Amino acid sequence: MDLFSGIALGLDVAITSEALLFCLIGVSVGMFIGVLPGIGPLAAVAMTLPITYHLEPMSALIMLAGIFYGAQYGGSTASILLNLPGTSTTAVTALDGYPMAKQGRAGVALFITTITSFAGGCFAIVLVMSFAPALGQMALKFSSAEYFSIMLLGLVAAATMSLGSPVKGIIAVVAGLLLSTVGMDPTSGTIRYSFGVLELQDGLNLVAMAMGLFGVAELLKNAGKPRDLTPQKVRLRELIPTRKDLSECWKPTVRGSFIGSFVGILPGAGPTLAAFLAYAFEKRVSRRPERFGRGAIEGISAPEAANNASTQAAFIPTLALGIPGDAGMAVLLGAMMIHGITPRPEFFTTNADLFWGLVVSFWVGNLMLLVLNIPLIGFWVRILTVPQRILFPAILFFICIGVYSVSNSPFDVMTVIVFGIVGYLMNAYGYPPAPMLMGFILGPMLEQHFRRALLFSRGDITTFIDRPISAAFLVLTVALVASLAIPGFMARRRARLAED
Amino acid sequence: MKRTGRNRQEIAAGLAWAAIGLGAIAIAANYAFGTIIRMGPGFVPILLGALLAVFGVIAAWQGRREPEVSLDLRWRPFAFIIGGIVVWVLLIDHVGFVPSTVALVAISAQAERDVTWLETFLLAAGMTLVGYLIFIRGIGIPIAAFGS
Repeated sequence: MDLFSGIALGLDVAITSEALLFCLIGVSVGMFIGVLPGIGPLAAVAMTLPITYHLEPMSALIMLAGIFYGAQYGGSTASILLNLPGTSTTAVTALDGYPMAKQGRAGVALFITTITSFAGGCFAIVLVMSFAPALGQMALKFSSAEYFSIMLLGLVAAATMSLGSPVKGIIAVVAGLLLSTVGMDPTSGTIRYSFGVLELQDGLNLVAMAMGLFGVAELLKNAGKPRDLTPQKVRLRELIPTRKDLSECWKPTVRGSFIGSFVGILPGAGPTLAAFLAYAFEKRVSRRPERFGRGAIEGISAPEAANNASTQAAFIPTLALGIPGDAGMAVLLGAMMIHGITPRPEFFTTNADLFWGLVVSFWVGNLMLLVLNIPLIGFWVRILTVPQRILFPAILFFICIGVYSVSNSPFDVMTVIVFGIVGYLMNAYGYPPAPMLMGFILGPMLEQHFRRALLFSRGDITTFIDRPISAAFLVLTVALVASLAIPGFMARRRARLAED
Repeated sequence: MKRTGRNRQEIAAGLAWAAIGLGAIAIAANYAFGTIIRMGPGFVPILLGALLAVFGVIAAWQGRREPEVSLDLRWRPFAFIIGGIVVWVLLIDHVGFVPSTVALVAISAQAERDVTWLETFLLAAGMTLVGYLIFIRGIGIPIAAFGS
């Protein structure tokens, strides 16, 4: 199917009143949750996932995807006005966005981030449309060896390319893989690590784990901490950027979109990394790098374009290979599987309507966000000032009822508590919880392909390097690990992070 | 925050992961290991347990040089947030949606010191009503409003 007939098909699916409605609900809810400080896209998707069980798969996916990228948009508002990033992905935006707000240019900053987010998102959507089916075609030839190697690359990337210690990232991934073995082994039927608990025989619940690690853990981290709730003022008149602002930010937007799309396509590397890279790159190419951190407009436009581009581009490996680009995609992938949709190479032909409908809905959703964001800025600012003592019990309620309603199981809610505490401790000691979730989600597939690849090769471990595509993924994995082991690189990386 | 030559908590965290890895191996030793061609259910868990043990030790070793971190645990919010969920789980199958949700909101609202009784009351009533409308009336999840 060529691009234009695909778009036509997508328009047919995405421009129905039902699809439009769920897209609107998705982006508004996403925006709403994203604006709340401390809650990111991942928690947003996890919290609303149970509600979508009762919808048609198409509507559910459109809505969940909308929540996901909507939350990405919303996060920047809290960063700019309160210096409180909703997520780590928008932490970069706070670096220059908050100084701009203090200089009375909050309106311009919000306007620019909205426009550049839109531009970055659109750029990446075009890439998804052109490359995802092609990658799917290529992936038809993949055997277990290729799948194993690309997942390994994804997991190593997730572990090592986060901002903290790579060793801690690897520990988190391995722990997640180990957690994924809980329950019945599909090959032999043996029950593993159930400790005699009946509920554990089916394995741990993904939604419960995600809510614990990213919902309850975040609340535990932020509760009881005083925070400054007087956002910088925004007046509608101040929203319009000057011609100088616009001419200063279009090139960074283009560069950010490229960087973000590239990072998004890599399995395992998500929007946080994209935003940091785009910011570092702008600072390097800028003629006046000293302005960064003091309200440079390039400092908000490049990372915002990058994180939204990467959020959209991450759909490429997710849809074509069934390998999520980051933890948020992983939860979305889990949602697709619950709806009986398994992304795999054939997805683009067997579920052509679903793919094109979803991608066109991204566009519709991005457009809705543009319209929602700017005129309603006063409303979003108001939400920012809701105090934690009101917000946290409400979030807890949605977490409890949401997890419970997945399978009416009190055990799942207990799982949330356990992983809430685990996530809290991991955050406190610098172990990133997102790679753990990645490991948990990819674990069963990784084990299956590992076992199958070695079964087909009669135990010959060289099967992973004999096959050229698999070998290429492994070379990339080794290069990634090697780049971390080189002391000079580490020192420079640390220095740059410390500087930012 | 104290800076000492040795960072006990970092080292302990690394060793704790290593211990979990060893525990995983000990349990997986009961599952069939199999051969590399036909792996049993114990093969991959033992491999992962070993990886966890090795990297846990590496993390502990690296932890010696890291600046001291110590857990900044605020008991009040911690107790009220976790307590609220625990109470909700214990109650939900016995007394129904309305009482357990009121309890959850009332308890977890106390996590912040500055909450007033009126706010707690309004919040509990509001969340229960909204939740009832969305989840029981709207989606129709099978929970009784009152009773089991």
